[in-house]
Amino acid sequence: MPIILITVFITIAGVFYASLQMAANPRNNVILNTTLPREVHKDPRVLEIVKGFKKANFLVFLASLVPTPLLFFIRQPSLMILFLSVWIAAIFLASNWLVNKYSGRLSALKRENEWFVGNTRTITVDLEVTKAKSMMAVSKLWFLPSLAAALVFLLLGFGEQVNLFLGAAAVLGVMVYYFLYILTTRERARAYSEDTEINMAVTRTSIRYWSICWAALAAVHVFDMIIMLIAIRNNNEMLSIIGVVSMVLVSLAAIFLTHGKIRSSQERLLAGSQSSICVDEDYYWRGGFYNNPNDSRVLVDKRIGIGQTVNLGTRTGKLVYYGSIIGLPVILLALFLVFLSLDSANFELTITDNQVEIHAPIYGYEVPLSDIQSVSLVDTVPGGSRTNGAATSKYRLGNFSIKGYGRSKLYVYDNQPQYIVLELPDLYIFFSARTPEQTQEYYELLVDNLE
Amino acid sequence: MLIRLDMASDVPIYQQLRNQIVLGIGSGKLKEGDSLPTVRQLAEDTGVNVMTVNKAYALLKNEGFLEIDRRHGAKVSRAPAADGDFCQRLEAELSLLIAEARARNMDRDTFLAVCHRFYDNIISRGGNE
Repeated sequence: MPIILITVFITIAGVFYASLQMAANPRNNVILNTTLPREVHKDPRVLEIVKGFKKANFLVFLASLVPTPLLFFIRQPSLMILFLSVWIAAIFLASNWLVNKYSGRLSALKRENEWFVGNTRTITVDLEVTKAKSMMAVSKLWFLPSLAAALVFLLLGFGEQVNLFLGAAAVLGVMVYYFLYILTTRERARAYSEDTEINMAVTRTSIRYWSICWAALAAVHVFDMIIMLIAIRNNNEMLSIIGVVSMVLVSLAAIFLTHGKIRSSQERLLAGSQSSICVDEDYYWRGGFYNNPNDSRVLVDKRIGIGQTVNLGTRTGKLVYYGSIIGLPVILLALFLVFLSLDSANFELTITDNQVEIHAPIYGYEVPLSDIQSVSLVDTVPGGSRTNGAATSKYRLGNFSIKGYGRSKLYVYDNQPQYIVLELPDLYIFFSARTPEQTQEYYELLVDNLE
Repeated sequence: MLIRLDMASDVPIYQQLRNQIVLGIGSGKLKEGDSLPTVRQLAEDTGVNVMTVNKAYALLKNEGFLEIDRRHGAKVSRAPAADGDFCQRLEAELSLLIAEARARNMDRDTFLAVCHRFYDNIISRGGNE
């Protein structure tokens, strides 16, 4: 378990590190959130600030890895959620602080030397590019094989929960990537140069590579869901871990590679152009957030990192931004509380009016005494796969499929000498209390009532 | 052909859009039969409201510069005649400019030289493409 978490941990830190390193390289004349004319990109004073930023970013990356060993000691999922949220928030704030500090220095340098370029409030579009844009992406048909495979997967899954769930996840994933593809085809085409040929080439590069990236990732996603199914069918935990981790790494690698590839070829095209159009939008990007009421787009390309961010100048943008500022902590807090209640869970069993009642968080259950075919004690609960429920190093709770038994409900603390097994017509219930003595008492209670 | 919209200008965006397209047609960059992006595409790329682009296109259509076809979108139409409304506007605006030039002591030849230069300028802009 810690191995997965450490992988996730290092990957997140790595993504933050890599996207800030990229922000320090010029893209469309923007270095570190500051628009500078092309001829000063290699100015020693600029290079020095960039160098300082990269060094500081590396130190933040190293510092963010320091708490990693703690992952070996945190056992409760609730504490883990708390730890991860605080840690990600800390990296996020540190990155923001770093960018603002160094871009502040850079824009001070810009003001001193009056390195102002382009018009700040002029929008330039190329009519030819706007017309041809919709033909630049690879065909929608690229998604057809993935969608067909995902649908077959889903249809074969009816009647079996795990298969159905993974099939639905496969279809949903393909739809998400298709949505990203649609966003790509609607990407705003700017005029980068007076030369229509160059504008066409720059826009085509971006739309084409991104559309290929999304179509490929849709296929990877479906393939991965099939691997997950094989892993779960064979109870191969290692394979399912490899499946999840490799999918995350492959997706991240694909996105970074596509981004880098597009960026370098755009820079090459524009460097050769005599008549490039420079737009200085720094005014709208103060503090690292885009706020431009003249622009009706809700989503705009980020300047730092990969992907898009909302335009705070629009009503929807404001709603999404402030909603997530309030919503994310609320969701994390709710998750924390749910896991806290699970962690401090006490499994209890009572018998009233010929009904056996099992009290547990979320997965409480009632069963009539007459349905119980047998009650016995076993000294281990065999392994199996979880359908839905919680499995931690301390307890297992919820619905499982247990080897040698089949469909089961588990209310067990692990490392107990014995467990109660109730046999129902098509279900087994495993139960244990926190101490062997209590478990023994519950067992006697059940036996007395069944006689 | 490039279109430039100045968000800080006092001229309304739909008017700027109309003027830019007229400039394109006048200079020869846009020729009869050339198609323009759809309203939605142009609104997407400029970041202005769909209604604004619509208004500019409707204006250009009324003036006879564009034909709007349901299937093929907007297209540059055959040059409308320079008569009626246009002649009236030309005369009114020229009278004002000539009066102001005279008030600033600009003589007839200098005024006409400027006119010639700019008329040729517009044509040569189209030739550069």
